[in-house]
Amino acid sequence: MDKKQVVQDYLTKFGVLVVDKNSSSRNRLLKVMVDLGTKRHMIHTAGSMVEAEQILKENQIGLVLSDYVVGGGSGFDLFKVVRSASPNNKKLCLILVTSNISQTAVAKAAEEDVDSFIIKPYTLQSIHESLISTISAKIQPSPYILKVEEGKELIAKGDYRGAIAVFEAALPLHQRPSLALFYMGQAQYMMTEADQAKGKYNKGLSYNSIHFKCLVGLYEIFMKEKKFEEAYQVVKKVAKYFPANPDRLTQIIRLAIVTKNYEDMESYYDIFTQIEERNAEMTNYIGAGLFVAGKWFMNEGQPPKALAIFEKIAVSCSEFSKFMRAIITFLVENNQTSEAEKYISRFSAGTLDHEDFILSDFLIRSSAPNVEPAIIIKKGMDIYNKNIRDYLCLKMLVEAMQKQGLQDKAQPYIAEIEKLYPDKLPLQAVS
Amino acid sequence: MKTSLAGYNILLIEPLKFEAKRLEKDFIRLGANVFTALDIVQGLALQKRWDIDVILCNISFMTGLADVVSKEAVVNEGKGSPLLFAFGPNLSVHPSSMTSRGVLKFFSFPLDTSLISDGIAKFLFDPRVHLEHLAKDALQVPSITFVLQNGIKTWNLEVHEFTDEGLTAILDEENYGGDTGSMTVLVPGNDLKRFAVRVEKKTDDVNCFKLKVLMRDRDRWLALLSVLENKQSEINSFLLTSSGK
Repeated sequence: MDKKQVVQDYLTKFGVLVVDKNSSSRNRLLKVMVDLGTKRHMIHTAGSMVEAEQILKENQIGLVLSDYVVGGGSGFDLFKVVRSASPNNKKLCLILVTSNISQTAVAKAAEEDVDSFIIKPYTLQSIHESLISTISAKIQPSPYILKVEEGKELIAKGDYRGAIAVFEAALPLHQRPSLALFYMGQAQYMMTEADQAKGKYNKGLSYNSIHFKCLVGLYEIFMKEKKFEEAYQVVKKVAKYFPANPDRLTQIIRLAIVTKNYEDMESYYDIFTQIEERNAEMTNYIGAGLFVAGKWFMNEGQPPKALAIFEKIAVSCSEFSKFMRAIITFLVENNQTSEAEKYISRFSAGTLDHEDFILSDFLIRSSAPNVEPAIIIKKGMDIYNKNIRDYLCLKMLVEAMQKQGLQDKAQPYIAEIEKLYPDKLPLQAVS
Repeated sequence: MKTSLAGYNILLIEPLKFEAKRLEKDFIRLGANVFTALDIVQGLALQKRWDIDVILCNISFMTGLADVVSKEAVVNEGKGSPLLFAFGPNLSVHPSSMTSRGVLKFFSFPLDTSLISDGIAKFLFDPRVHLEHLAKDALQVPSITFVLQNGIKTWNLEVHEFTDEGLTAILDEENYGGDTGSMTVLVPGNDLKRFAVRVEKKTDDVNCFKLKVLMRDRDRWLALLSVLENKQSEINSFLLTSSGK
């Protein structure tokens, strides 16, 4: 039986769901499915998640064609709903038809195990070919995929040894059997044989260096073992090819700091700028990561590199005024007041009464050449009386008092510095 | 007459016609050349066509606009990019989130054109900060986008299908008002491409039009199809490899 016939037979038993917020796009896909021989009454269309969910409740769906963005969610959200509605349908076919061809969208499709990704617009010939090959591969899986599925079922039943034997049998059926090796690793991991599991994941990666499941499996084991450098090397690769996941980006940034891979931080910033759904947590993480990297470059004697990184923070993370304050404080401490000045304008209008702005403004004004100590004392005391405490601010206040010969007046503040910042400069250095 | 905006090309993007008209009149009175768009697609098309100095955009359209303008600023290394301003209800947005999208200033309702004019004029003489923002916080435009213009109007096209001759698309219009036009296509990661097209209404669908690329642009059109075909192969191969199926 030819592939087209196989697809037609399948679609007489299971319905097709077309989801696109644009009605003409839905109609076009509907016509494409009719051209492929699907009966009109088996094709359902929806413009939103709510409509789609209703259709899923009332019909047995075997094929879903969805855009990247649907009303009330994403195509991936919809696919999750479809999978949970038909957990036992191994032939369920999920296809994304979208004009969004960003690396993020493609990577997300790979992560979510979408069966096909069809670029919209399409030519009639290309969409026909694509649909037939995807659906027929799904409903007539290769002997290799059948074996993998059999092994997966044994894992679900807790028969790990049996599963491993089935996966062993799957290996010769594929030229690059990374998927079978991954599930074999999973079974071994379940039997707490972490080293063997790692071996399987690595072998899977030797066949296919971007096999997503093997990469993630390996990463998770390293993390559990607290082998951060190894985990970082793996997840770095994951981030390169699968940049879509915001949670993963925050994990990578954390790992990059833990493992002192500061030089990589800029590449994560590039990933960050390409992620469509950035949230405050992620912005906070990237800001923190970049700041640590900037400090490191400065301490390594590479000020231009450090300043370039601080610029990135100022552009992308200025919603967190703490970063502007941290940069200004760091630059003032490093005698780069003129550079620090640039960042004061990055505070947004709504943050001008905030502690971060008040302190940053004080630090810059007080570090300018030829500032009268009396002015520093007055402003420093204003800040102190507002109950704002900052090491550099207190230090400048004490130094100004000492310059004015007010040694006695400075004593309580010196004592407070010692108490609040015991790890900072010894008192002698301050005085 | 105040002339702080004299000679500048201002693109105004505002969905409410009457409000757009009012602002347009005021800005013309202040000496500006004003181009008005009721949505982002029209706005972008106008921006492509004219040498726009300033974009003043309703907050509800900011996301798409900032993405495209930012992208352009990177391609052009900041040269010739317009200055971006937004307006909308007070407190509808945190000012810093605007800054990170390259917006220089946010004006809240009710809009006072002379205040806006003063606000804009300050920046016209110091676009450095703006360009810096655009270039550094560049976002990618993720989707393939089609725009059709006929000299009078601009449409964002909902395209389903390609052929070697052109494409089939939906226009939010029953009559096109002519038989030729200029179609601009943006494929993410590639330059903008512009094609001369013949526009024919399809009889079986009310808003459906066939856009045939004129012969002189046909080779470039086929080249574009081949770019997309290659992209599709790349995606297929990535999905297959990364899943190991």
